Order: sequence, then structure tokens, then C-alpha cells
Amino acid sequence: MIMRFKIALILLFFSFKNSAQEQLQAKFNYKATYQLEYQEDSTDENSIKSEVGVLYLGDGHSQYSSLGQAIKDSLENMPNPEVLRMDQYNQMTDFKYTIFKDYENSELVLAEKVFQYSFKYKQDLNQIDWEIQSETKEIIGFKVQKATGAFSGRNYEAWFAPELPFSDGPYKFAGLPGLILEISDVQNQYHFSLTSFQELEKPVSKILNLDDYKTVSQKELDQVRDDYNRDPIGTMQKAGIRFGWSEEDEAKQRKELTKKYKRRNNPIELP
Amino acid sequence: MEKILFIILSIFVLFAGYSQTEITGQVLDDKSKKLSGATVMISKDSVSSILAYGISDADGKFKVTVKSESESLFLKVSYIGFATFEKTILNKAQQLVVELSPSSEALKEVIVKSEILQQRGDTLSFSVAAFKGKNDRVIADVLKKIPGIEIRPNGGIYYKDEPIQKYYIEGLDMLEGRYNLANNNLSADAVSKIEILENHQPVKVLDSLEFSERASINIKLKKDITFSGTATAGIGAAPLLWQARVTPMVFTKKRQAIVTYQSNNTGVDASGEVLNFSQNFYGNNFDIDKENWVSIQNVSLPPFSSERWLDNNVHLLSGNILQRIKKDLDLKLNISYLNDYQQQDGSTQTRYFTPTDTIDVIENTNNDIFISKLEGELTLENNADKNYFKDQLAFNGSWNAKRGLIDRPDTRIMQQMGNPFFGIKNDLGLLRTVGKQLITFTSNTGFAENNQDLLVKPGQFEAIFNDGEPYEQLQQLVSTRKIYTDNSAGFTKALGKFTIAPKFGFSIQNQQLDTDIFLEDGEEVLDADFKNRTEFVESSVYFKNSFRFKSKDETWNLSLSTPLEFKSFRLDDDNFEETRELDRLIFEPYFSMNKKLSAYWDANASAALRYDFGELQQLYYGFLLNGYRNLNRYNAPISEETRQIYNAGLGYRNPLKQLFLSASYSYNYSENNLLYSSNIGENGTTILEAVALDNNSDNHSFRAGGSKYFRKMKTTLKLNTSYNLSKRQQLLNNTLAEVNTRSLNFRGSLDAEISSWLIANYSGNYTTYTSGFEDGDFQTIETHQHTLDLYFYPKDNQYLSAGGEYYGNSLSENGTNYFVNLGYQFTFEKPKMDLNISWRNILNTDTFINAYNNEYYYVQSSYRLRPSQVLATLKFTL
Repeated sequence: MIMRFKIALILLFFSFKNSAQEQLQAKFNYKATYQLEYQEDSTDENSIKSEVGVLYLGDGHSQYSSLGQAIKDSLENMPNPEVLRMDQYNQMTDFKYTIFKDYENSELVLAEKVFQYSFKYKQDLNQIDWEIQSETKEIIGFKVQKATGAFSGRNYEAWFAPELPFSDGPYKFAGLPGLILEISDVQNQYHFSLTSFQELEKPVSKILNLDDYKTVSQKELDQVRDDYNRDPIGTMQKAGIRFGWSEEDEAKQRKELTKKYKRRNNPIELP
Repeated sequence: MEKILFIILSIFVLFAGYSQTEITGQVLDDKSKKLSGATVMISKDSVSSILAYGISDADGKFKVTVKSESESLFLKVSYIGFATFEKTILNKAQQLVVELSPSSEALKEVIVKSEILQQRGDTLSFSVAAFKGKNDRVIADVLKKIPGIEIRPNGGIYYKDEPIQKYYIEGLDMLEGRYNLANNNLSADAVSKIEILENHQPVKVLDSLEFSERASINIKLKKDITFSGTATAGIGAAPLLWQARVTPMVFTKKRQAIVTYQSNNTGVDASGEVLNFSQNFYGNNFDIDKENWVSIQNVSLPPFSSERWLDNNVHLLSGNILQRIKKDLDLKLNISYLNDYQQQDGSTQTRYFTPTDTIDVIENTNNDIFISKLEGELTLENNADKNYFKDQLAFNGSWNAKRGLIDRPDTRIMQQMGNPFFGIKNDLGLLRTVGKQLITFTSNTGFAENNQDLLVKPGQFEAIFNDGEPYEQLQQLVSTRKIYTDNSAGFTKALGKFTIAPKFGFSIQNQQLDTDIFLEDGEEVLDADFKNRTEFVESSVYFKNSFRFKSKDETWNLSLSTPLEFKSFRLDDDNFEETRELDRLIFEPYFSMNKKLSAYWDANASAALRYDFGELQQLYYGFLLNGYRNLNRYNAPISEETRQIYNAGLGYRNPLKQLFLSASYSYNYSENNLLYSSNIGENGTTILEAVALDNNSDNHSFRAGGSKYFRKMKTTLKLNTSYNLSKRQQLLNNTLAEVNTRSLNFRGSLDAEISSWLIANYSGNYTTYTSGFEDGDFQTIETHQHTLDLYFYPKDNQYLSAGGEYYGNSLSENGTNYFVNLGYQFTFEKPKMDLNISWRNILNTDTFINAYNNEYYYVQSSYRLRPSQVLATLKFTL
């Protein structure tokens, strides 16, 4: 009986090893950090929030996520997370997705975990038909030129730096002859601006394993995220998490979360 | 024709003013490898802005269309890691091959210091001014707006669904987990910043050794010296109701203090505010919690909020002081005193089933309960970089008294109970680093003393104590003392993916139980069968080890713990010759696994083996009068129970369809060396004894549930069911019976957001519980419950709730109960106040009638409720 148990255990360990091997390795040599300021509630101009976004740039590919998400990913992939204690990052974010851009195949993948469910969708990398403008200016020491384009219900004004030869930018923005250092929609509800650009002393390798992520459509992912934001308590309860509070208290808590949810009515991509 | 068209087109192009030039080409590196993603830029000259651009494709090919009148153009091709190619070219269609040469020239780097969100280490700092809304009073109101923070109804603070570890004010942990006191009473105006310390390791020694996934909170005040607090006052009728609470506090750099006084007669449990959320990091096998050896007859409490049934008159006073003696060394004192007078009125009808008979007992109960409780903790904590020391001295005293009157059809019985208790303990923890390992040492020692007595008039168990003749009174005296010590040493070491943390220790507990029974005029019952002079010694030497494994892809999660313990028990009684001993080496493995089968399916299973040995409360030799009609004794070997627990479950969770289903099954099997024998007398008197006879019991339980959210109707439907089947043996009136119980439960609920200002919830619950002996069932009780709640939010600063409830059971003749409650809250902006009005039990239902059954009896009870009452309370900051 005990012997059989041992064998079962050993078999289990082997099955881990096998499943852990299908991973992609990606190397990033540069890191660009953006400050994002966004208006959470389209009806309230004062509902400005801000977050930090990080764009890792490598040979032929890039990875963008909010700073919080970036650190969370690393924590999950690190064999010994202790090293990260030194890191000055946090995992607090309103944007829980990671965007992988692949220049060669000209596609992007957006991967996101909504609570405990992992989803991804693929898109063409060239979403915007940019129009180059002659206007130029300087952003923190880089000469930048203006370009305009429309994307998902908003008209954008982007400033790119030809001296940084990355046809990339924050979020899904890409396709200009130089890194986008600043981009904002004309109503200024989403405004990204570069706060740092660094070459990484040691190239960062990330393990990209999106096999566990289920492929869905963008609409489906947006819907699931919206369902979760609308009722996080319900979603957690459905996953078997018990809170142990009374119905009254729960309703109150729900109402508060609903209020929060209703304020978040201004996504970057308008339906 | 074609020619003409061509000419026209050419003319058109010329007329457009610009000539359009298409420049195509390919980008290669020095080894002629195609470069994709290179940027190709065309401008008028080397300094002017870009006119057109292209990006090279997977073949390194590009195409740029330029509109320019200029005769020449400036071409730039860049690729990361290569020198930029620059060339002046003629403004004409052409095909180019650009070969880039590698370059190690670094790109310019910039870092702009971000000032919007302050970060220092793992600390996030939030300005309270930015988050504070106009209706926010206390720091809890602001805290819950911070992303990631959640405050649960009992006040527990969670960050990203994990409870916080510490709640500091200006870096000092005064409240030791009783942070509700500060959180609900510190004015938000006094606070400048809230800091979230992510991955916070409160013990500095562990900082680089043990990774903490949990966060702590630090409250930064505006001034060096801060006075703050809140007060609540409430009044209502009828009869006169009051509710008062005042919580002043003071903070300086080296000293902090919070005091609270609360009083009410509205049925509110006052102890919530001093609830301790702290988690003891050096686990404890023993404690100084109060034990009850005797009790007066109670009525089962209604299942809803105590504000509707608890008839109380409570006063609570709590003081918390912290003094920083020197760097890293703090002394803390937390003391609270609670005084309460509660009244309970009700009646019970109990029917006992034995293999040969049924027995009915009817009791009208009227109890007065006096509670007086003092608790304190004195803590000395030294949290330095190289070592950690914490010593906590806690004491716990209570002086409770209860008086109970029972009216039975033919007699009235008075019970009087005194229950003084005192306990003191000291918990010491030491941590020290030796190289890369961490050595832990803990030592917990405690002492507790209980002196309880129960007086019953007139005397019961006449056949035993007075040859069947009635007599005046029966008194049970119980005196217990216990002393324990538990010491352990361990170390923590990480080995790759595994962490091992072996712990080696020993513990010993000595308990003494003395009991005597007296009859009228202080006449002592001398028979040794009614006396205990018991000494019980438990000692253990243990080696605990656990390790955990988590696979990288998160589809597997396994854990195994393998504690090994040598336990030894020794039981002596002065009145009996024989000594009982038991020595056991026990191995209690626990294994659990979780597997994600696919995106939506997951499965889990676990298995455990457990051993339970008798506690002194089930070990004494002589009879003890536990209640006015209960005499118990366990004149048998030390009980030993072996339990096997298995569990398996399957879940389907599809967030796309918002459909969630789960099912689980668990099986418990236990073997016991003792069988319990109940002898139920004609008037409900029960004599319980333990008999040495191997027996076993088992339990199967099934659960299934599902929920679905209907997006269009904004409604969630939930359905759950469970079925439980258990079997065990019992001696009832000297007949061995196998008692079977079955219970079946269905629950359903509907939550609908009817509009932005109205939410409606309905829930229903139906249970049947059947018990019986092998040869047939004797009782099935069905209970129903339906609840409907409506929440209205007419304005941001107003809130109205209305609720209706129905409870019913199949046993009681008048077993239907209806309730209606109303609540309203209004928030004033100036002055800052919250007004709360509640009207409870509008239908003025005077009793709650309930029925439940157990293995061999059922009870119908009625509990007197608080009458229809209106209460208005006002909360404001000091």
C-alpha cells in the first residue's frame, strides 16, 4: 500500500517535469517606462488616475504591461522570488494584461488573467494607419516627430523618436519609425509619456508560456473582465472562496464595489 | 486607348503638385542576413523632419512612398545594434539594398524621476487628500478606496485577497491585531499618508531569509502629536434604548494610546471592536481558554442578528498603550474589561427516543446571566536586524454568574452557577540567524484555574442521592488547575523548489480536577463514585516537518506534511487504585493535490490520517453534575480515536458563459475504543458513561452547486444541494443501537440589480433531517426559510433597506415566524455626521419558534425576541 503510494508520487513528479518544458524564452535588452494618466470616469474630468507602464524591447519582439503586472509575472516565473524583494516594483494595477508584440509575424497577443482564468487573443500588429506630421519637438532630450492616427474609437496624437529605432510604443501602439515617447487621445483621456529609457545591463530573459491561456475573441475577454469588475465578490464565491459574512454586509460591500465599477466607464478602447 | 489613359494619369499626377516617388529596397546585415523591423526614414535633408517611412518586413523588404518636390532626399535606415545608415539619394523611384554594419554604440538613456506615485522599496504611499471623499470620516473609509484594499464586514483588512499582516501607526504596532479600534475611529483628517508595505516581513531578521507575500499598512499622521477619535450616540424605544461609544486617542513619536468606552442595551455585540486579527507565528498546542464544566439549561439561540434577540446591558472599556523604550524595542499594554447583564426567556420541548421508549420533557426557561471579564496583554518586542525577541505575558480573568429558573408542568427548578476563572500565560519567541539558516526557538508556558459550582433546587436524581425521596438541593463543586509548557526549536532552509522547516520540541501539561457533590445542609456525598481527585499528565516529544511543492505552470499543486509525534498520557485518581497510561507514536500525514485539467475544469483530492486522544473533560472517573439533569462520568480507558479523511472534488468554471458548477464527495471513517452510553430517565435526566468497547462510525457527504449570471437581466441564480449520511453506535438505556442520520439540503438564491438605485435579493433554504435506528426511522423534520431583501439608493448620501423573512418547520404546530425590518442611513456634510435609523421587528413577533433534531432526540424551542423597536444613532469624529 505504502509502496504503491510512493510510486504514485514519483510518477506525479515526472509528469510535472514534462509539462514544465514547453516554454519559450525571450530576451529583452531595453526597457522603456511610461507614466499613464487616464480619466477613469468619462463624465468626471477630475477622475484622473495614474499608473506606470513598462515596455521591454528585444530583438524582433516586445512586451508591454503595467509595472504592477510586470512584477507579478516575474514573481510567478522566478525560481526563487526572494531576489525580487529588492525590486522596487509593486503589483497594484488596474490593467492586468500583458501585450506581446512580434514584429516578424506582424502580430500582437494580449494575455490576461481575470481572477483565476487565463485568456489571450491575437491581433494584427498594424492597427493604426499613421499619418506623419511635420511638427517636431523635444521630449527629455530626444528629438520627436508627430504622427496622428485613429484607433478603437479615439483619435491619437503620437510623438516618436527616430533615434530610438524601435517601431513600438506603449499598449498596442506601434508602427512608427521610432519609439513612441508620448501618445494621447485628442480628448486627453489616455495619456502615456516616457519617464525612462534604459539599456538593461544584463538582458532580461522572460519565459513566455501562453499555452495555459485559452484563446478567445477580444470581445469575449472584454466581457469576462467586465463581469469580474462588476461583481468580484460573486466571481470569487463561484470559485469556491467563502467569506463568512452576513447577507446584509455582503449587499453593502457589493454596492460599494458597484459604485467603483460604475466609475470605471472609460476604457481605452471604446466599443 | 491604354496610351491615352496613361497620359491622362501622368498629367493628373503632375497637376497634383507633388511628384510621388516609390522607394523600395531590402535591409541586410553585414552577413547578408535579412533584417526585419528596421525603420526606413525619408526626409528632405539630414536635419528636417521625416516625410515618409517604412518598416522592413520578414524578408527585410521595405517600400516607402514619398511626396516631395525636392530634387534629393535623405535616407536613414536604423536597426537596433547596428550603425544607422544615412545617404542622400535622388528623388526618383529606385530600388536599394542597404547593408547595415554592427555597432556597439549605446542608445541614449534617460530617467525622469516620477513624483506622482511615491515608491520606496516595496512601499507604496498614498496621499489621503487625494483619496478622501466628502463623506469620509475615519481612516477605514479612505483605506477601502485604495486599489487592492478590501475591508471585510468584521473589520478584517485584506490586500489583494490576503489578510494584512500588521497595522502600524507611525511605524509602531500598538494594537497587536486589534486594529479595528484605530481603523474605525482615527479621523481621516489627521492622516497625511497611507503606506502599503508590500511583501512586508515584520520580523527584521527574516527580511532576506523568508519571503513574505503579505502586506502591512502604515498610517502616517500629519502632526507629530495627534489627538483624534470618534463618538457614536444612539437612542431608541421602547423600552428606552441607548447606544454610546467614545474612542479618544493620542499619538506621539514615542508613545501611543487608544482608549474606548462602549455601552448599549440594543443587543449589539460590543466585543467586535477589540477583535484580535493577529496571527500567532509560533503556534500553540495549549491555551488558557476558559473551560466550562457545569452549565445551566439554555435555549437555542435564533439564527439571525443578535440585535433582534439579545437582551443585554453591556459596558466595555479598553485601553491600549505603546511606549518605545529605545530603537527597535517596544513595550505594549492592552487591557479590556467587559461587563454585561443578559436575560434569556424561552421554552423547549424535548423528545428522546430510545430503542424501547420515548420520553418527553417540557421546560420553560428564564435565565439571568452576569458577565464580568478582564483581559490583558503585556508585550516586550525587540525587532533588530540580527535577532528578534518577543515576550508576551497575557492574563485572562472572568467572574461570571448565572441564574436559571425552569418551570416544568409539575415542578419549578432553580439553578445557580458561579464560574470564576483565572489564567495567565507567557509566550516567548526568539529568532536568530546563523549563516544562511534561521534558528527559531519558542517557549510557551501557562497556568489556569477554574472554580465552578452549580446549585440545583430542589435536588434531582432522587434515586441516586436520596433513596428516591424528594430532597431540597444538590450542589456540584468543581475545581481545576492546569499548568503547561511547550518548547520547540527549529530551523528553516530552502532547497531549490522545496522549503523544509523541521521543528523539534517537547511539551508537558499537568491538569488537576477535584469535584465534590453536596446535598442539603452541606452534607457531602462521600461515595468515591461521585468524587474526582484526578491528575492528568500529557507529554509529547515531537518532530514536525512539512514541505510544499508548487509546479511552475500552475496546473499542479501538491502539498504533503509529515508530522511525527510521541505522546504519552497518564491519568491518576486518589480514590482509585488503578492508573491509566497510554503511550503512542503517532504519524499524521496529510496530502493534498490540485490539478487544473483544462481552462475550465479542475480537480482536487486530499487524504489525511488523524489521531485524537481524550481530553480531561472526557476522562474523569467519578460522576460530575454537568447540568441540572445531566450526570456524566468516563470511568474507562483513555479514549483513542483514529480518523481517516478523504475528499475529492471536481469543478467547472466558465467565465465566458458565466456558468460555474462544482461537486464534491467526502468520506470519513473513524475507529474509537470507547462507546458512550446514555441512560435517559423518565423526567429527562441523563446519565452518560463511557464503556470500553471498540466501535466505528462513518460519514459520507455529497455536495453540488451551480450558479449562472444572466447578463441581460443583471441577475445571478444560484442553486446548491448537499446530502449527508452518517452511522454510529450508541448505548441508549443499556441497549446497543446503531444510529443513522440523513440530511438533505437545498438552497437557492436570486440576486437582481433591478435598476441603479434598487437591488433585490431572494434566498430560500429547505432542509430535511431524518434519524433512526437500524429497524426504522423515528423522526423527520423539515425546515424552510425564505428571505427577501430590498436595497434602495435614492441618492449618494442616502440608503434604505427593507427585509422580510419567513421561518417554518414541519414539527411545531405554530412553527411559522414572519419578520420585517427597515433601515435608513443619511450622511450630513456639515457638520460631518452619519445618521442611522433602524426599525427592527416591525411585526412585533414576540417569539422565534424553531425545531431541530439530533441523533436520538428532537427539540422544539421558542425564544423570546426583542419587541418592535426603533433606534437612531449619530456618529461623528472628535
